[in-house]
Amino acid sequence: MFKSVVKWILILKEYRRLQAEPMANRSRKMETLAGIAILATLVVIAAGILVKQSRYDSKLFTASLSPSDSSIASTQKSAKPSELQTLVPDDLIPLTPLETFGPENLSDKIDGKAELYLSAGFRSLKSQRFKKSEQADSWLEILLFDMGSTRNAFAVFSTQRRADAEPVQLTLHAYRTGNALFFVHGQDYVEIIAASGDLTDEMLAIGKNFVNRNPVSSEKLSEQALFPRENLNPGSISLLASDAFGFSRMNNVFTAKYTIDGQEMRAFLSLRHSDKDAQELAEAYHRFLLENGGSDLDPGTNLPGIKLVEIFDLYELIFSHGKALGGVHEAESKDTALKLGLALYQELQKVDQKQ
Amino acid sequence: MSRRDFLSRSVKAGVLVAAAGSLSYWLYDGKGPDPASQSSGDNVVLPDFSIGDLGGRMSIITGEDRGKTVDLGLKAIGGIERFIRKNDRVLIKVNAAFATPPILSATTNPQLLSEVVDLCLKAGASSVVVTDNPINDPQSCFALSGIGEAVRSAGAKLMLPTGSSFASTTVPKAKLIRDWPLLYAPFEGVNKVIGIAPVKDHHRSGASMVMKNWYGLLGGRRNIFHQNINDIILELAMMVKPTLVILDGTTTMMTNGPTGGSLSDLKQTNCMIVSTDQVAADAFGASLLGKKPADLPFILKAQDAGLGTADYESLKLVRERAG
Repeated sequence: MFKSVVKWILILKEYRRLQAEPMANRSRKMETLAGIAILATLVVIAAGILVKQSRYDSKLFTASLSPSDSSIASTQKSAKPSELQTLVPDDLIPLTPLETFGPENLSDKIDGKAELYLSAGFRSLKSQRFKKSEQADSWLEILLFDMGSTRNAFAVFSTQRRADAEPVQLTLHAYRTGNALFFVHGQDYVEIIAASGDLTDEMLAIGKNFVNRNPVSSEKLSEQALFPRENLNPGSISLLASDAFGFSRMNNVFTAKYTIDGQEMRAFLSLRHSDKDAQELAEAYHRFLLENGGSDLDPGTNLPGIKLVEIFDLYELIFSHGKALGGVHEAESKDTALKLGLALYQELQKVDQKQ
Repeated sequence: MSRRDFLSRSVKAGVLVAAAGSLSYWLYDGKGPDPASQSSGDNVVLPDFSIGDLGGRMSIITGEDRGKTVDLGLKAIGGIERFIRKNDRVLIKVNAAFATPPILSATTNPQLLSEVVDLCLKAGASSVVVTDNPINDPQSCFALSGIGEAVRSAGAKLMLPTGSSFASTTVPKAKLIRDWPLLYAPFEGVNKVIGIAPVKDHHRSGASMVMKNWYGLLGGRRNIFHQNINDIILELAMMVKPTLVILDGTTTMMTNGPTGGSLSDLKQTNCMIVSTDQVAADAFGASLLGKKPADLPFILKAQDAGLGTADYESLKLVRERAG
């Protein structure tokens, strides 16, 4: 009985072996074919890489600063009117698509001027060009800079203010020139630049549309009111966001131009976090002037903490008063520096007395 | 699979892995490329396009009409024929950086370009190619600046940058321009190079003139060089040794450069400078911006590097008035 069971098992095994043999052969052939196919694919890929490498495009082979670059530097092409297109009068049609830029690629739009915006807190730029329907040469570009705050927007607005700026009743800070309109609205700084001088009405209409459709309250820049009005050159108050007067620690400094006895100079004012901060910064700027060739002079006044420095035949006056750092920059004479410096000091004292 | 098969295949696989590893080790260059040899390897290096035996020549022509001033400026330094010969292949590098209208003077003036192309063709040039790698979209820049139309109407060829227009370059002795993409395709087959740039204020460098104008030949993320603006301008002047340069100071962008934006950024200074010495041209251009060469470090650096002289009065200088 046992022998016959073993015999049947052996017969069954032999039968299965005979059955499996062709299948194994088939499997081996399939494996071989699959292997050849994979190798052939790899050869094709390698050949593709070699061909591509031989046409190496070094322009494309550059590190990206941000994975979101492509989305930031996007040019939007859509049938839907862009945000800026909704602002323009009907007789203006898009000349180019809406473009958007971030801090990483702002220089792709404005090259070396990008540093001015970046140091002032730039967030994003949207720009688009529009032309008069029938006139190819009559076009304008809207540049909408989101600067993050009114203060930042005022900084880039004021430091670029043109000499022949004509004030415009649009916002608190707005002017136009022969071919352009510039203004601050909330945290936005807006430029509308025309290719010709015949688009003034359109520029103003766009500005009004923007202001009306974006009701915002602009931050009050209280420092502006602290400058003495006497001898002040109109429209000359600027905000230097960083590196004021070449000193890296001097940021957030308001300046105003004055003409006294036929000499032009600037008063400056910066409100710091604390009295101590203001005093330390005044001392640091004083040291900076001395280290760069300046020499101390007797200011001839008994007001506390006032320093007068002569440097390159010009005069700098520096003081701190409470949280305020103030002074006079590049006065041509000691007397005018003192006259303006004391006027500024007295304005700050008046504010103290009111409080 | 039998034990014998398994061992046999394992040995074959091992041999294959060892062979691949050996091949990789043989090909591996542990030291990396030798900096000294980079310029002669896969990198391209621009040849010297200057005409050595002419020496330093410069003309300063006053006048409002760019056609007349550039024509007279070229005559004053020997005539266009001294620079462009029959069958020369000329490349003109313009400043087409921005998609702005000609009236803003942020780009090379189209009328001036037309005149120079015309003079080159009349002198016998077999081809004149105009190029730039603008900051903004190239097509918009060439169209809106008026340069594209000026090129076409004057009979030159416009070469817009494309991906395949660039080749890697390393400027000998340079620290910044090493293995950097250069707009090289327009230079292929060319034997004369002319740079034409406007005089502009520049927020970073203080001025943008003929030496800064070569910036438009770089590709890649070139804005990183703004941190070393004076050194990069120096290296650009080391990279390109032009046949001559034309600095257009007819209208100078005095403020808010390099883009400007308002007509009130501009001042009529009515000067055309034609020079074989790009350092000298920029040194004079500085005066149009109310600056001295010493106020612009890149000028002194270029002079110290032997690329020209900031003392333009020491050259064979001609001053004339057009019309």
